[in-house]
Amino acid sequence: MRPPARHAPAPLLIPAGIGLLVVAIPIVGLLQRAPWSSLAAQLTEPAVLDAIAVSLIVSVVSAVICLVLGLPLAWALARVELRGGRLIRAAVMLPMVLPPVVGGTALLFALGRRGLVGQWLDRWFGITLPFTTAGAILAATFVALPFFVTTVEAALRQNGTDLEEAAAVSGARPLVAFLTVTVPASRESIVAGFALAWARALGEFGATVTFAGNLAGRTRTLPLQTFLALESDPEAALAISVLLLTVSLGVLVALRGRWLMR
Amino acid sequence: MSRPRLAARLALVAGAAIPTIAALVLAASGDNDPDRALILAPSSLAVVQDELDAAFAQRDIPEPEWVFAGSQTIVAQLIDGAPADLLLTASQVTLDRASEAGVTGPTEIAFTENHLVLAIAEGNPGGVTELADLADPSLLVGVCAIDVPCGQLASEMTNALGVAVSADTEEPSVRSLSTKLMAGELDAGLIYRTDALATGVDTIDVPGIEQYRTTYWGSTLTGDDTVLDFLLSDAGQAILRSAGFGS
Repeated sequence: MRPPARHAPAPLLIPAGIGLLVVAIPIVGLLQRAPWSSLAAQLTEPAVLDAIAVSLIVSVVSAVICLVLGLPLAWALARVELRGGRLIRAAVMLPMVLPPVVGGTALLFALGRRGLVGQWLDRWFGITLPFTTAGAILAATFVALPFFVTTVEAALRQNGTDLEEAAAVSGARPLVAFLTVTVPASRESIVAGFALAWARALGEFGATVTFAGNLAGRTRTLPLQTFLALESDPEAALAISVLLLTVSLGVLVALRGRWLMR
Repeated sequence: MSRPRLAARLALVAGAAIPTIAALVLAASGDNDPDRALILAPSSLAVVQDELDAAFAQRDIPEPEWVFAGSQTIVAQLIDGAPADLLLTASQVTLDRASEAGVTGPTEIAFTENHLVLAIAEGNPGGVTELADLADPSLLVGVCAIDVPCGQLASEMTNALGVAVSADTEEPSVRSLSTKLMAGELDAGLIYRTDALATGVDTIDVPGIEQYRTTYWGSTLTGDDTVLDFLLSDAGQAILRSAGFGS
């Protein structure tokens, strides 16, 4: 239900309009400069197709990891009395506000082959994450995970524990109750969190380039391709930007649709 | 709607809009001091900023405002109307782009040079001994992407010397490449001599590598040649040489 706002006061409407312009003008500028006539040709260049393939693999795998790790994490944050819960929640949300390049640097010094954990991965298992697709997936997951966790945690809190308690009373074991009661009750938010995490992973740039490097067919995602193309071929950069803009907008519109239907 | 209410509304609108617009205008104009030259400079020159500023202070030249970014970026900003008094670029190609767009001043002067070095991780974990090792797929090798000047130069040089580089990453800037070498995440990479000196990474001598050079160009945009003249003077050249620029 919309709140009554028949007489929208101008002192609110004017800054609201300016706020909208701040967001809208750059997008209009991008669309107005986009090479519409050569868009299809630009987006089927081999370099762009490579980047699309890397981006799809990285973003989808990253979103799945967010689901698998993020769902239990959201549940723990919503249901378990954790000591230092506030601090843990802040730590989980940190990548949302941290500059991604700082996240990438942190990943490099933690999981690079000379890093805190990375040196042991390298020494014991011969695994080095930087400069691999797995590294790009890790960087994307680092920035995308909080979007999934915060979305789902909010839903778990809002839904309350009545159904879970009822299931427990009727003898369901906690894991069964989680899978058959908690998850279905929050499926809308789980889908929304998954889509948000996927979109964030798709757009990830700073952490990826800092931690995973930039190589065609391996770690060069669409945002990295855009950044490079800006240096040499701005038309190509604009074409990819239009593609990413369309996908992002599509995700948000689809999510809005879901929420409005509830 | 009655007239008095309209007037009251307009007053409220003005009350809300004027501070907002004023804030936007102030933010856009910045604190541009007309006495201080605004210099658009390539990132690689950042290593000499402090020494140049100190030299300007000694000569009573107002300390300039420096804006550092990749040469292509600053040229693109200039073409898009960024204000500046002096344009410095790290390659002929990027200067030409500005020149073709008609945003350079009447004179374009080459003021120094730079060349690449073969840099290695601390302790040389990859056992790198020569340029040809960059073709070894088992080593972690980084270069700049071909879209940026250091990558263009690396490509020219390795092609001429007959080395097919097996790169694990093509970095968008020489800085991000230097960082990964410093962190020991790459076994070897091709970075500017000045970056190697500034970051203290170890290097391997490659005979003839210094033949492949990039030239730094300057063009004064607003008629005051003070800064560019200083860069070309003996004192300016000495500062640049101490950081590894020049021949």
